[in-house]
Amino acid sequence: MEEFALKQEYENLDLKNINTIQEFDKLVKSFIEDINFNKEKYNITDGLRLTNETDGFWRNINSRFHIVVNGKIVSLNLVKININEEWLIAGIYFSNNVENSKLMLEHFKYFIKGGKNDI
Amino acid sequence: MIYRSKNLAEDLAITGTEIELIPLFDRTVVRFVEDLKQHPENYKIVDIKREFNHSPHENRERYSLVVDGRLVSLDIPQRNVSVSGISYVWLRDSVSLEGAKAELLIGGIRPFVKKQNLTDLMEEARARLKEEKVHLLHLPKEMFRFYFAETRVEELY
Repeated sequence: MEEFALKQEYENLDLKNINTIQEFDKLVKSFIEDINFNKEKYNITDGLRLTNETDGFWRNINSRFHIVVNGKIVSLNLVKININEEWLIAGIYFSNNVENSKLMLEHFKYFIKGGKNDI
Repeated sequence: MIYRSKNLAEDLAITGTEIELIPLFDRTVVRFVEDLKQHPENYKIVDIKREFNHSPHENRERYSLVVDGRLVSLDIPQRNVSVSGISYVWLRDSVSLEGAKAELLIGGIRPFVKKQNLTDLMEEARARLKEEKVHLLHLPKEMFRFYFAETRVEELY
């Protein structure tokens, strides 16, 4: 599994700082939107939200998607945490096909740097 | 898109009620899934992933497939055919496909089924039911007759 969780990537990050998490949450949402509208940029040919697995309470904590990258299935998991009654994305994980999971993680890091350098 | 026992009856050119055909359907689906895994190129499948069930008590197989670059969900639920309230006999009774290219796969199932030898399939279905041992007595009567009408009792156990 290729993962990008705030605390692992930025050791000194203060996770109690709600602004940081809110910023990360926004960046991930922008990234998902970018994937959705610019599929060709990522060699993605299809995507599907796995709704059955995220019913009820778990829907708040974990959102899971399948995307087809270079013909291979990559699972995209978003892990959320509850801050002041608001569920915010604090981690993004790619799994299944290793090569394309790594590729998507690199895309994500590049996107973050392009979108916001000082996170 | 759903493939079920009435489609199987058409493709194998046999007659039987839905409940009679379920064991045959079950064995055909097992063969089909094995063929998908062994020869994905025959179905234009470039990737396949078995999905976890939501709970350990869920009797179904789910797969995500990439067909022609698009995601197709393959769902194979099992039905309890036991008429007893105290035992369970789970058999596959439908194949459900969803996704933009689901039609391509349905188009792959039918020729596969037509190629199957009915006598062999009947033998496999009987063998599968015999695995249920004592629960054989809990099968619906019409299903039991369909597979074991000419079988002597001592051959069953």
